[in-house]
Amino acid sequence: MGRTRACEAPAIGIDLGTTYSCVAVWQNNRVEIIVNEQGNRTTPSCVAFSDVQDCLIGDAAKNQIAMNSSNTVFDAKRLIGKRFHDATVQKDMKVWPFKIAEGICGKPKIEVSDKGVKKLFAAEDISAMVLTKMKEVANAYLNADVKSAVITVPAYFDDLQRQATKDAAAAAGLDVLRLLNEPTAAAIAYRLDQKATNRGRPINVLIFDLGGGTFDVSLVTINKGTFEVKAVGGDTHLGGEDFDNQMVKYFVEEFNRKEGKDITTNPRALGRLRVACEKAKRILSSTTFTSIEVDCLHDGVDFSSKITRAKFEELNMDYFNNCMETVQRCMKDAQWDNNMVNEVVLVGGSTRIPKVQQMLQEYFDGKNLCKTINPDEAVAYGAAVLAANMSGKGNKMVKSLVLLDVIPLSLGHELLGQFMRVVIPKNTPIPITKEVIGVTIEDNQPSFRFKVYQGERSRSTDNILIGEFVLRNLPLAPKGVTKANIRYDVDADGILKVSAEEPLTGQKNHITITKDKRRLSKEETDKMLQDAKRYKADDEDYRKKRNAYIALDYYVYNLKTKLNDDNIRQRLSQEDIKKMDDVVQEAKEWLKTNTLAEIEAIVNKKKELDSKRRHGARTSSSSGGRPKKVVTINID
Amino acid sequence: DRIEEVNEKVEEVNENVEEAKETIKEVSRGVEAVNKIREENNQFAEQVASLEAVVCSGIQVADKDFVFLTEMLMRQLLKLDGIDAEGEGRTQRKLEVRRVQGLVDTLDNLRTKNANPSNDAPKPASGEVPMPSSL
Repeated sequence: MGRTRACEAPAIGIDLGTTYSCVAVWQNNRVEIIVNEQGNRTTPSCVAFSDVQDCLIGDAAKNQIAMNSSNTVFDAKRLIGKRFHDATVQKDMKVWPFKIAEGICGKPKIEVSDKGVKKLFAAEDISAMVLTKMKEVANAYLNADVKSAVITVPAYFDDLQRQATKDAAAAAGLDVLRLLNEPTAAAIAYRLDQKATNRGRPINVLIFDLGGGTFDVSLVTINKGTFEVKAVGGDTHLGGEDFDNQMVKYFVEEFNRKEGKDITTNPRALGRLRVACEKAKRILSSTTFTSIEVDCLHDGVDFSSKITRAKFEELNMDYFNNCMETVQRCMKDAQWDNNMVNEVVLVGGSTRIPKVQQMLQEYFDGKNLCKTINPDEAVAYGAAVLAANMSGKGNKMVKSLVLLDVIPLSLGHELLGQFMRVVIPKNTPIPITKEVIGVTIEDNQPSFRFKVYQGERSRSTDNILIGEFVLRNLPLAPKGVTKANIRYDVDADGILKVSAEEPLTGQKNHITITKDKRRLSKEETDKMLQDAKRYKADDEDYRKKRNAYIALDYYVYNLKTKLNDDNIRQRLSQEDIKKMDDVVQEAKEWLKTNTLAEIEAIVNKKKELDSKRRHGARTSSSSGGRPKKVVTINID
Repeated sequence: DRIEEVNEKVEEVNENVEEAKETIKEVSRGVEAVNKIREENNQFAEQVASLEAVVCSGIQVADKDFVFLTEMLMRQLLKLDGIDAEGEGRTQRKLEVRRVQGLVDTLDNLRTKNANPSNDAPKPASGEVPMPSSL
């Protein structure tokens, strides 16, 4: 019975970021961002291994990065669910101070020395440690044992990356209520869905996420609790660190000019200057002018200078322009006009830069930007709201949150004649389970081969093959008798499982589709949808052709069955039987080699067979001495 | 009118006094912040001295001990850089920065010496001598 479980730990929301992570919880009728033991509201996504002690996670790991750089792992999010030979992995590897090795199945592994022993870790192992840390931070704050969480991932993450993130959560002892797209989380943080529900019409939101190391733009349409990501864009290597670097470059030149000394050969001086620049950058978001001072920067010479906000903006104008170009490109991809955007949401620490805000605002004709929530925390905030919603907590507003994701392209498998049987049509909200029945297409067919496709075209091969499997050891029976129950499950995280079972014998098999092929890029999805439109007539022809083919196949099958019927055989001469057997054999061969024949050819073939059938029957009636009853092999 | 003028003067003086008090506060805040870090630095200075004694006695030390202590001192340096200071605080900060840089230079020299021990010095296994450490 309904035992009250007042002490049950709440579900938390975790923003598992590339450089920093953040954890939040719904408590005391609001979202609370949970501070870590250092008093910080965000924790570095950083794990350090050492020769002498247990591994360090978070601030402690980041604090010793310079003295133990080859054993301090960060950026695991850039690696998760990727392959060693992926171009991005090969590129990132060059700048990481830790080593990456190729593991089994091309999985990249991070090589570190842990207590003097060489160890290999997968990216999900590192993410699991960061998630464990975030869970512990929450446990300490809540004085509870947190079990479940909503974890955010970038909108462009493919299935492999999502599955790997889930694996990391499982390893951290967290039950994932939902993997939530980061832009959707930000939209939830601003309760934009509420406004949408109230108005009863879709609203379009642009999420501008400029963090420490990555830049993401997402265009999201919110319609009665459905968050559909229409376009994503960005730069995986652009953020606050680049702005710091520009300032460092500028001051290095100034020092060189004023003092005639080059500090680029002095890494310690550069390090101090970088820290001072980062501080100045933050100050320039609230004042228009600041001074920068570093005692004894180089060769005992002090450094003292001033910088205006205008100068800072000038130094980084190229970056800011790039950001706006990305916004423009995204809008073009989604075919949105500027006035179609209802809300602009700011996420990431670097969106505090006034110039960035100004440029965005100008682009959208003076539109007000959503910036009431701390941009470092908006994603975790949204995740915490969903976590509360999914565990039945929260106020009325939280409880009324409905969140539906949809599949972007239809899912189905191939039928005879390379025909795509759609099982789950596109734009179906997930999670979804659908069952269909398949039957054998030949007598004594020993197995089913399921080729699972996604796409909108009639011909299966025009779509994208995302996986295949075989159901073997079927009971031998005539065509169409043996069945298979085919089940499609798409879970809330968009992961597809296709299973098939033969009900008589209980033979079963399944496939979980985590191919990165499945999550297509925006361009690919668009192309697929456009092709489906463009080739609508072709597809209709193909459908007709396929139906003709199936009809012919069925005709030949029936002919063959009839010929095998003793009742009929008795009434035919040996010669006729031989003749008809040859006709059937030839027709079967033709079917095999002409799967892609034009509809006329198929129809002609059927006519030809028909006339042969009649001809065969006629000869039989005229050849024997004793007149035989005219036998027509009825086909239908 | 006169009274008003006097009152204004008094107010002005009061404001100046407040400002001066504020400045004194600020300076002493800066000095205090520097002092706090100076105390921490005393411990690191001791560690550098111990390490120096060990290296000078010809015993080889694990390289990571130098790396570690250098990094800790660099962090102290960043803490000092983070102090907003005026007047005396500024002077003190600069003194302390010089001190830390001196310690770092010492460590650099010791590290070079440790890496190339003179031939006549005894050579025990590296890393055998535990680092005197308060951490």
